[in-house]
Amino acid sequence: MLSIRGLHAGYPSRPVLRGIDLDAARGEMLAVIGPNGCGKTTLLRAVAGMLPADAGEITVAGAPVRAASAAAMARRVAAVTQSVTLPQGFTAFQVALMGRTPHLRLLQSEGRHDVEIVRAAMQRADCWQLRERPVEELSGGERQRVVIARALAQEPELLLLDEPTSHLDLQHQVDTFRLLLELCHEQHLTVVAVVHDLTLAAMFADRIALMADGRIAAYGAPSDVLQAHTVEEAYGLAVRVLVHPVTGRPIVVPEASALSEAPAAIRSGVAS
Amino acid sequence: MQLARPRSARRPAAATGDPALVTWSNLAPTYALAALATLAVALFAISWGTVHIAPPTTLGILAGHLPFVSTGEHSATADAIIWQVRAPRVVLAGLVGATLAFSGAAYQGVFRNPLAEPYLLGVASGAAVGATLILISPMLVAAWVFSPLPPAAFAGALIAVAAAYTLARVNRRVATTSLILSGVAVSSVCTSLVTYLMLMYNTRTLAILNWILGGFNTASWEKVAIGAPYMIVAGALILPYARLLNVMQLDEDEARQLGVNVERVKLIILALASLATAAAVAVSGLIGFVGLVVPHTVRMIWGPDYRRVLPLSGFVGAAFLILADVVARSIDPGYEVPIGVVTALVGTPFFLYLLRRQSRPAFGAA
Amino acid sequence: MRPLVAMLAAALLVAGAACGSDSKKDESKATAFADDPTPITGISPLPNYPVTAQRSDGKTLTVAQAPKRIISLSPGATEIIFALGAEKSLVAVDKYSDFPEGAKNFPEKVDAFEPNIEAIAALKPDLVIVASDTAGLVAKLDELKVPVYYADIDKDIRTFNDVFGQIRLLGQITDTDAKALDLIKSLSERVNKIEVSMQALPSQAAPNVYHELDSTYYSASDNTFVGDIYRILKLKNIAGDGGGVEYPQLTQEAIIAANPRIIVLADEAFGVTIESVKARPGWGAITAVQNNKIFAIDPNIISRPGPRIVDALEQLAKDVYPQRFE
Repeated sequence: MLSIRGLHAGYPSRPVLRGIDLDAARGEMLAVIGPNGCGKTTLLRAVAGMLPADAGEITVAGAPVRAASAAAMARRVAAVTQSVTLPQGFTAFQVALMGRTPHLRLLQSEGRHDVEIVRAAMQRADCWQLRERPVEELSGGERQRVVIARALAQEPELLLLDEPTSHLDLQHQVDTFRLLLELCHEQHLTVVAVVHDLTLAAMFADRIALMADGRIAAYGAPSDVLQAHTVEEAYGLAVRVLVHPVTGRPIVVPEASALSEAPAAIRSGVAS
Repeated sequence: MQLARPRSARRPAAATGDPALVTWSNLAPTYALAALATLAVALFAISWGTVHIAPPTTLGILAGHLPFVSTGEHSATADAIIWQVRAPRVVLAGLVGATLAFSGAAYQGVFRNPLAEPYLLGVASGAAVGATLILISPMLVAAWVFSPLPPAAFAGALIAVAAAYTLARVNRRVATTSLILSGVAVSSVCTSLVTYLMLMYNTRTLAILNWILGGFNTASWEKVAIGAPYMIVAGALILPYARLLNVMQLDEDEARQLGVNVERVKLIILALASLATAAAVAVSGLIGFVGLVVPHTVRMIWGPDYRRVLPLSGFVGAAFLILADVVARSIDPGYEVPIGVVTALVGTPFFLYLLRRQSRPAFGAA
Repeated sequence: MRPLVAMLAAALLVAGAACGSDSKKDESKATAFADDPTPITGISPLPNYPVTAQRSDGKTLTVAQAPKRIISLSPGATEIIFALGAEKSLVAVDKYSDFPEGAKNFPEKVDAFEPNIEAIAALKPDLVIVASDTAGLVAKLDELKVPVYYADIDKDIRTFNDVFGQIRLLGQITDTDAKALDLIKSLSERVNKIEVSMQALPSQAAPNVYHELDSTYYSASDNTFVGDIYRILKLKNIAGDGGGVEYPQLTQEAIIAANPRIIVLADEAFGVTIESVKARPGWGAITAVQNNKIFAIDPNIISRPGPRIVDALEQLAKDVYPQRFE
């Protein structure tokens, strides 16, 4: 579904991605993890077409992203970014309904079919009950669910998410990822999600790509990537990797030494 | 990926609790009602004036000018007043009011800025330069058969907007903040030029100021014929973009993600709105306030969906300016009051009242 | 050396004043309004110098002797000065002083609307005549101790009598009092002739007139020169009192409804012609248009407070009452 070869991209003042090779198959959930500033968001933006590539090739469903029109791309790829503007005065339903834009012609208005799709999307994202509420009244978590619903309403084949659950409580975090996983399995949706929570990523993702310094440091199944030394090297923090007793997926926690050893500055402060 | 069953031959029934959809067809009754209301305002305005002409006579005279309709004899003076003076004045005021309001709404939608209005990119000051150049030249300006003023003002307006757009363009993208800045720059240059010319050719100062202040006291069917095509066509062409304007209220990256060709839509909407505004300014001078306040008022009452805001701004703008013109020509019977003064004095208190009633303004990003 | 020069100068001054006042006194007595049937109010024979004049800003101007370097920022005052034969005392006139020829081609021209104080002061005037106080000109000139005569053209010079008063005053100031009185006499005779002739006209017959100043229907109210002319000609000015404004803007509707019998155009500079007025939509119903009673007049002669307003009066009298004034 998604294929990235030798991708170099960044901003005029500084290059960020220094040669990325990555694949995501149809129906696969790929989690992208890494420390701050490693280029996760930049990678997502490049795949979404928001950032021009300096070198390399990105292909979605066999078609290069560079050559595709915005409308054609939007019918295949949906993105949920971190910073979300929600226009005042519109209801949650109206905002989610905007996800149907790529499927409508200029003079066409949304119809029954579109309403059905949006309803289904909002129900699965657990925000249907918010449909008549103005978006500015919603909490951060509720807004995030509305935006996810909008992305789902696009009926994409590839869904890109940048920390989609940062504002959500534990239940909703799990619900969201479970929904995504269901869609991957039932509808063969491909999901590429930037995730901060390593354990959450490990719980749901089929594969994980660990990034550091604009490159892929490790790439593969969760238990292969989330090894203590790999994580330590990437994040600069001592960790212990446990194994979930039922699922067998890795759980990453900071090492005991990291907990008791306060950074030098605070120690000196406390002492005096 | 499919979330719902595909479109089947039989239309699925709407589930209970589905929110109402905004479509062109279910908005049609609203448009019809608004059109009728505007027409009523126009007829009222044509019947009202310093010279008392009974409404039945007025309607008779108007009807008599429709093709194939004959309503008998009327006094030449009454006919002249109704058909040659009041009717074109009201029609022109309605057209200009509608244009300024819907262009204002379009500008506000593209810039996502509540202070945007149709003169932002230099239409007004560019038009003033065009008109000033004609007024200071030895050309005969008051010739009724063909007046060079409107075309010159029109050209000036378009040149100014094109300059603002070109200045703001970087790598085939035009950021809205750059556009605002370049518009301000172009406007400043034009305004300074007009001021300088006004002072240098000071026998013409009154004539230039008069043109700038705007008004409908020299309205004629000829002016309507000159301006109407642009205003009507531009309005009709912008309307299909109303739904996309809604989507553009998300930030530009998100809109692009939803498949909207943001640069092209911006260009089309701004070009059409500027064209219509240029025509309006060319035939009626610089009337302020309408393009800024009417769209906000419409939003406050009918919500932010541009499929309502655009056309309803048109109707409300038309009615507003027609009524303002009635005030301008009636408040001191026989004498004209500058219409810009009326729009500001009449509209501001009403707008403030609406603001207070709202708990929060119906604009901006959450 | 110095005391000698001073004494000489003083002697000359005294002699000049004596000579001047002697002759002026005689002449003024001789021509004092003997046969003038139209008394000019408020003016009486005065000793020549010093001449005091009230300015429009309430201050008083005192002129001790005939000025030799006058700057006229008023086209009307320029015309008067030339008519009085006192143009030798001018060093500069304003850009719009274009009558007579001597004024039009005057070597030194100054801008009255954007007055350059330095340029004015550099000419070392001993009198500046101001018609409209733009940009605080009068105050600045006062500061520079330049003598200013300020008669606001909009507020204080509105009738024929006002204009005659100006002529008289300028005559006194420039030491051409005799000429001034002559001029006033001949002008008022001409006015009088028309007034007398107008007395025979029944006042109900007063036709109404629309006076147009520009193509957006600005007109002149009764409280202006133009208004005064129409009063003498017994024409009813449709602009009336202007709603309190001297130069009101009329609505087309009001003009058509008032149905003027006469239309006077003072806006040829705006490209308005008799033909273009006839072609205005809706104006075909107006009596003046139907009877072809539309007259154009040079705005300079009808609105400038100078001797030519009498020309304007006579021209209009002939236009409006051709039988009466051949």
